[in-house]
Amino acid sequence: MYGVPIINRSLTIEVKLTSISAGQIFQFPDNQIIRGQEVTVYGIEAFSQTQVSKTPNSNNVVSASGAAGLVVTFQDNTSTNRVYEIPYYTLLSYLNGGIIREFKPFKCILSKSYVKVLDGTNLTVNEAAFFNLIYKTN
Amino acid sequence: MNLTLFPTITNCKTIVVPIYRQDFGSQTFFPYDKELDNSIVKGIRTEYSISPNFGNVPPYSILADLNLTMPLGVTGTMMRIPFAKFFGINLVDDKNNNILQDYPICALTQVRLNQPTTYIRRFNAKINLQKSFISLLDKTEINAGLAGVDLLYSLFTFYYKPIK
Repeated sequence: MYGVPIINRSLTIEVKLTSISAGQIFQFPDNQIIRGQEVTVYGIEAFSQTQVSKTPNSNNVVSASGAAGLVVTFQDNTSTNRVYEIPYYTLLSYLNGGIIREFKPFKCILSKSYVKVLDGTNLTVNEAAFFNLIYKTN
Repeated sequence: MNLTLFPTITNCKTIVVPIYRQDFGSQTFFPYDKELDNSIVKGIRTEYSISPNFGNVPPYSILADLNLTMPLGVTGTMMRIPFAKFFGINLVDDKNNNILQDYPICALTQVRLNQPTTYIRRFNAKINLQKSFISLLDKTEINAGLAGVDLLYSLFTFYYKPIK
């Protein structure tokens, strides 16, 4: 049974929403822990304010209602959309009985992956989408 | 591949991490544990109060069960929902790899209000507890939600297999 993967390594990463206009895209930022490394992602978890109020950079985490207005795309090293515009809400594990969304492992290119605003009604400028990526290095 | 949702428990141990007020803005490291230091950690879960009142932490009914004595003049408090979401946990393995990095500790029990689950975050790593720590992510709460809290007891249950 899937849903609770064995974590090889994981890191949290935040995407600051500097605008909440519908259609706005925000690429994942550079991350010093995995800079210059190829990482193979096999689990993705997202959080809302219910679980963590601030990110490590002191940005407010999006609320559960705000999360409903976001979608997420992850691209692999062949520029293929491996996760295409999946609702952020779907990745909130506490709303899914505690399970984590698992994927067939793919080489994730964060600089080509992004968060997209579909509905900014319940979002506030400078809130952050906050993720935990479960990965292994090659 | 192990297809079960839970690690097979060979040993488990609950470690109490006292987080003092003066450390709220920085990092609180785990206490050294000789047994865990020589083990492969299979999973972790937090144990804290789901009650709005202090002190009721399953499986412990009262603080005294843990033989915890409050230092004189200190208000000791159990980690609970309104506080847990301010904190993150960092677990580092013996090769300095990040197993968990600023991971919300709420997610270690998947607590929604009054809805704890039994899921355990699973690993298969030799954790270096001395380099692992709890960090306060929401520092604005030092003078808000955490005002008046001098000491916060946080309990983590490690599931592990000793290295022979």
